[in-house]
Amino acid sequence: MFKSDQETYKEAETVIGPSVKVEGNFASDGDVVIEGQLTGTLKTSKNVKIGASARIKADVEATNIFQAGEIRGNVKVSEKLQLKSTAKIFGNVEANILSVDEGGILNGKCQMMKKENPAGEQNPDLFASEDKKKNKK
Amino acid sequence: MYHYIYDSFLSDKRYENDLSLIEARILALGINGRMDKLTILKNLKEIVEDSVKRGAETLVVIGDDMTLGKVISYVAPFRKVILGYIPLGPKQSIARLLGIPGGLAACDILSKRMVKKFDLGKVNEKYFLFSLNVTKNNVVIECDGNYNFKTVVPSSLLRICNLGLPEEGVFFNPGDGLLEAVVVNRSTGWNFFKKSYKKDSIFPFKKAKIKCETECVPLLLDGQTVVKTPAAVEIAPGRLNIIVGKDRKI
Repeated sequence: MFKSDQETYKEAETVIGPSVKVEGNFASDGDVVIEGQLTGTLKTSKNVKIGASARIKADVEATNIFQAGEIRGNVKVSEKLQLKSTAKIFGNVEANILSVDEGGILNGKCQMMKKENPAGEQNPDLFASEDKKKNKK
Repeated sequence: MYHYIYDSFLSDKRYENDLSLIEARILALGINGRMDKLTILKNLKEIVEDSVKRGAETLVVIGDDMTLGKVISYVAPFRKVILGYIPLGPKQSIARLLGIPGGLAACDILSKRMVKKFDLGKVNEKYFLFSLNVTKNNVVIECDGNYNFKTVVPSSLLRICNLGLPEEGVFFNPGDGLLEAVVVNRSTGWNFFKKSYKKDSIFPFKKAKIKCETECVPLLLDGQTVVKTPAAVEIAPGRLNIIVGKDRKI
């Protein structure tokens, strides 16, 4: 993330490190990396990476979440929620895609959201391939 | 009209030759102007204000990164003034970022006048280009009125960055309209030759308040000017006009 040896600047990305405690309504337009403590709410239009040492007491909303820490609150993800083996979630979850590694803990209601297709069709590529097979037969 | 400000350390004999070459080149390029050498008796603020009153459009700093840092807070209130930089001396990491070669070659960059606007950080009506150093970490920083943060590790260092921390090798974009609150930790282990730091947290923001309930904490602007808490920090977008080289990295 940092290029300390080379003198280049980096684009702003939020990092909540292990030596920091954040309280309040945290909103961001960029990717967020959390390794520390957060209390309140977290909302971003992009991705969140939660490290194994992270402790979050907040409702979390993002596009994708890669979760290896502890969340006490509701989680809403418009795309993919990935729980690693060290992950713990105590709260309700809404996601389009959910992946849980062995050992991952999810205590709460889980609701899978269907991603709305602008054409109103479900997985058009999949159906197209099945149609082709039928036609060949 | 050009006005050249020499840092006091350039009175050392080893810079004599470089300075005479620079002065000759300035004359040859037709960008010569008034010259002032900083001494203990000459106040930089007065020099800058006097120079602007006399109609100087371009103030050129001859010195190192620290000299540039000193001048910026006094130049910032004058929006029409353009800042030039001829690097001479030990610390030139900002010069390299700006694409300005050291010594004589910088005169050609100056004459080409490629001007770029940079954001500045503003704290209690004072400006900084690089960073604001929070000298104690028992403060709470409230960002954009939405959330606040504090460090939980006693040895952590708090910095508010615009361009970055040259000594710690961290640089940010000074044209993105944001300041960055950075928490750095001193790296553990032995290193006799260099202080090493590990970056911990980064919070981009536009406005922040730095508060400490128990005492007034001194804040150091670009390693020089001191302001005390409580302090209101904000970004001043495009406040600095500075001449850069085409090989700039920002």
